[in-house]
Amino acid sequence: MPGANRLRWLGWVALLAVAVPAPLVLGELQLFTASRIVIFGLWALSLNLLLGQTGLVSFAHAAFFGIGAYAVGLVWLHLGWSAVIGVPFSLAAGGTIAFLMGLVALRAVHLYFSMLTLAISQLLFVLAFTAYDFTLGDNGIHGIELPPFLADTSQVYWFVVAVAGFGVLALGIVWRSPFGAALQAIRDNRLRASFIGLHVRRYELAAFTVAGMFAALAGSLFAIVNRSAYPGLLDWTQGAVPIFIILLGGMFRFYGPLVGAIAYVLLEEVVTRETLYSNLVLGAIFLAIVLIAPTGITGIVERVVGRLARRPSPGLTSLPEPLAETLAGEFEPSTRDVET
Amino acid sequence: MLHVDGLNSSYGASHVLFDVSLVVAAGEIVALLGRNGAGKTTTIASLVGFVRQRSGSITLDGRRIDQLPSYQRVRAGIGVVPQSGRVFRGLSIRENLEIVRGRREKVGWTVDRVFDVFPDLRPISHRDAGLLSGGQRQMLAVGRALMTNPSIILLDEPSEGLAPVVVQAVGSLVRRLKGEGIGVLLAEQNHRFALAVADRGYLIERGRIHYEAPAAELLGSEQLHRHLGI
Repeated sequence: MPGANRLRWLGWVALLAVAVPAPLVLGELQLFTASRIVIFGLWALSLNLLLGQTGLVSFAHAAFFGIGAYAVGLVWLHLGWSAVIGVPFSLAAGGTIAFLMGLVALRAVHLYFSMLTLAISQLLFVLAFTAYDFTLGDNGIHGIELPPFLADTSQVYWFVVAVAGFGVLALGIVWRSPFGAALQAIRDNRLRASFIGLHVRRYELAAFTVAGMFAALAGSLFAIVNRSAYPGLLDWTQGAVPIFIILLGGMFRFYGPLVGAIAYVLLEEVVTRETLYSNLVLGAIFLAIVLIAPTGITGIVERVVGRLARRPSPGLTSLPEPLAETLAGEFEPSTRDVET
Repeated sequence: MLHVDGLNSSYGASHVLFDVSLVVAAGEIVALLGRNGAGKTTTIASLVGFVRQRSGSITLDGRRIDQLPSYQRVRAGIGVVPQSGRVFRGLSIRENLEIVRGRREKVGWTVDRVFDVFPDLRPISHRDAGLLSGGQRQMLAVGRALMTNPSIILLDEPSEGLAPVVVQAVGSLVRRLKGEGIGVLLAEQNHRFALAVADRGYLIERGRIHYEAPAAELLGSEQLHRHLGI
């Protein structure tokens, strides 16, 4: 549909047109909120490479965010280098640790894979929490100094947008590449994917590594904006944030998590300002999405637009095949070919 | 050339294939006929390494492949067309073909060559594969198998659920594969269709091969009557 393509491009241009000149109109506090949107958007996009595209549920995504933050903090603390060096360094750190973690965790599938990511990421959390000589332990690293070109909030914001923009572009290229299509095939059906010669585990490892890299990149930007890195960032419960963002925005479109990040950060601000029990409200919203609109905001919008254009949009009105479709669908031998 | 010798397979504790031996030569169409539940699909699943093999050997073009994982068997030259032509929904037709990682050949199959064989798919190559008709899906599934540059293609019930005129088209498709020098193992319940295209046929019942004969001889034979109950 060329019309949909044009709309999508318009959307990206509009996003840039709003994001880039934002410091000219927004106050310091609002700019801080805008930075959160950009950072959480990148973080959720990187997780969606696993969740939406490959069908892998990882509980380790907070760990990679934290690793990115520590990449900035530790480079500044121990090496005395500019904190900004930690930003590209976070890609290498996140990628390396994700690769090693994936080697272990991807030996299992489905729930067992998820549990392994949880266990290993908690190990990293404890490491950050207790290694006082290296990470300053549970105190965390605070007051990270920024170089002169990041002296004021606007400059920090533009830096964040530029780096995150690179990250979004890179993830977008991955999403649309044949490699991305192969990941989608694996999500649809691992078994069938191996029948066209795909080495499923190797593809999953590559996806896990790339996701870890860009989660760490998002974390490094967090450390730049907040000038701190602390163990709480690695805690697995933090990993719920990008999952919530992805479900809110919709996991079956590349831009879904970006839409989700805008909605989440604004929603969170309103809810925490207006109510006492913010998690209760956010939890209820989460429940409603899962039960009523599993394709998220982008799914709802596309359905409405599709109806207005009197054209169904088949890609999003229904969920894809269950992530764990088993051999029953492929060969149906358990009911048909077994000796009786 | 596919050479299966004394294959025994099991699902968990239940033994499902008993001493299955069969041969498919290059450019030969071989039918595997049997009732529902006789072991046709299990045979195919065993050949691609999905069912646990207890004993026996599978040799493809002189190379033992029975200890390899599924994706390496595919890369060794076994193409699979699963039941009712299951394709990857959510991916376009072109993407379904592009993601294939098959055997490396000097002059291999390309997306363009597949579209030469199935010209109907070319103009809709960007369409979501989930929106295809049964016949189109079957073409795409065969095209996807061709993209692995196979020396043997395993077809699991390709006629199932298709209208008679489409079944005819599948028949000429199978002959086309033969023309490309590819061996075809055709697991079918529809013996009339299968024997019309096949060179040879095996009868399978309760996980055992009971009879083997040229297709012309099988058609209307007493054995066919006995083992298929027709």
